[in-house]
Amino acid sequence: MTDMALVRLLEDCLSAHWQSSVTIDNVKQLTGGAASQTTAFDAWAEGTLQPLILRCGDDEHQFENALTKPTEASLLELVYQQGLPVPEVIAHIPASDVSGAGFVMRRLAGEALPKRIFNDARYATARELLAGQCGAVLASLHNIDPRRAAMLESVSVEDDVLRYRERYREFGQCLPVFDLAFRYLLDTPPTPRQAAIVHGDFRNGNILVDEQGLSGVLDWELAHIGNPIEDLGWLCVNSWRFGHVDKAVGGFGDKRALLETYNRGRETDVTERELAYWEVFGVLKWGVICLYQSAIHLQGKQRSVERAVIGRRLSECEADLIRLLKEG
Amino acid sequence: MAIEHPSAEQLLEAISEFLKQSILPALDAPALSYQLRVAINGLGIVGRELNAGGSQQRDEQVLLAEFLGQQGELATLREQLRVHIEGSDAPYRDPALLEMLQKISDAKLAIDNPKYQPVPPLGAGIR
Repeated sequence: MTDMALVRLLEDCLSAHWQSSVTIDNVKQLTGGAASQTTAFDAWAEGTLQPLILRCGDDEHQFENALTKPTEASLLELVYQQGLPVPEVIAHIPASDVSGAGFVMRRLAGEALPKRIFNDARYATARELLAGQCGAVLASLHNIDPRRAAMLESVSVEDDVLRYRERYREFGQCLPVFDLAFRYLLDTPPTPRQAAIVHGDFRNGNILVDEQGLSGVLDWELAHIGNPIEDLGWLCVNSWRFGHVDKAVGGFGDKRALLETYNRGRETDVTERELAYWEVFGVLKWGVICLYQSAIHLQGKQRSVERAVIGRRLSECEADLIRLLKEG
Repeated sequence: MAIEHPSAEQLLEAISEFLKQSILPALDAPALSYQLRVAINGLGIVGRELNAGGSQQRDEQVLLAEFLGQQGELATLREQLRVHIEGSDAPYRDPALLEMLQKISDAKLAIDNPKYQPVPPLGAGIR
């Protein structure tokens, strides 16, 4: 897609939407595969600057069950209406020869890079508050009636575990630690919880942070309906602590703070014990994603040194899994 | 005997140093610099595997053979362990199995990412 064609497409769509002439400026591609893109840009309409994001197209190599962009947009609209800190969807972009189907949303202010969230002095207060705020936001998300999210797929815990195990086995790598952990997940089912909207990728790196703490929740493409405690366990997976291993919640907070606000927000009694099941689940899920990423390279679908090297992160998953199982 | 002037490890080291000291500072595209750092990291894995990969695999084979009470190729023993895991009652509570798998995993981690800090035990109350 050429920049000029994209600029014209966005100007046309937004002019029609706001019914006034719009000019586009500062187009910057943030991430992008062959077919899917996230692009930041500024729109000028009636003398006002609007910082926006375009998300469009679906990569043929995106992780399975990832939402298409139109589905992601309708989910974002739902959770935005419910008052969650997510970007407001401004316009839907139909598929054309310039881009795949997608949507334009507001660009929220805030920092998403874990390194800056950990180290920058301006986020000192935010770091104190973040774990509790994550618990509160997840509680609000999980309190939404999942029947309102008909666009999402619903999966039982057992089917989800079996599906991840099948993916793992398809890659043909024999990792006994993975087999052992899958066995644990299947033998010792978690406390049943009423099905809820699960974000699916709620972690440090996918949240926006400002001086007051959590300011936005991004990357909803792995959302589904299921046991909501999956989101809490995933947030605690060691990979997302980025070396700050003693801070279990995203490398910035502790589980007690997370569970306290979560349980208060939902009138539940989730314990660290229950969380431990979902941590094992999360590490396995991350392991399967690593296998999947490196397979895309190894099978020649998209050659990339980054995808190749990510395959070697399986050792990290194994080291975490075996320690979690020893506790269990 | 392997060729030693320079050895494969020394050759790798020279390439890594060149990429890190001469190429990385000359790149001004952040995406490319990131990819290059990932590639240099990959070369580090290869270097550690050249150095310790052989003994890691031998140790794994010995541990698996002892645990299973049978001899065999490493790949076969891994498959046998999978069969054992599928066929046992609550294998994830078997301390001998867990100890052995931790030894094997930690040796692999020492090659793939020696700086990685695995998840600390629950008891500390900080998790």
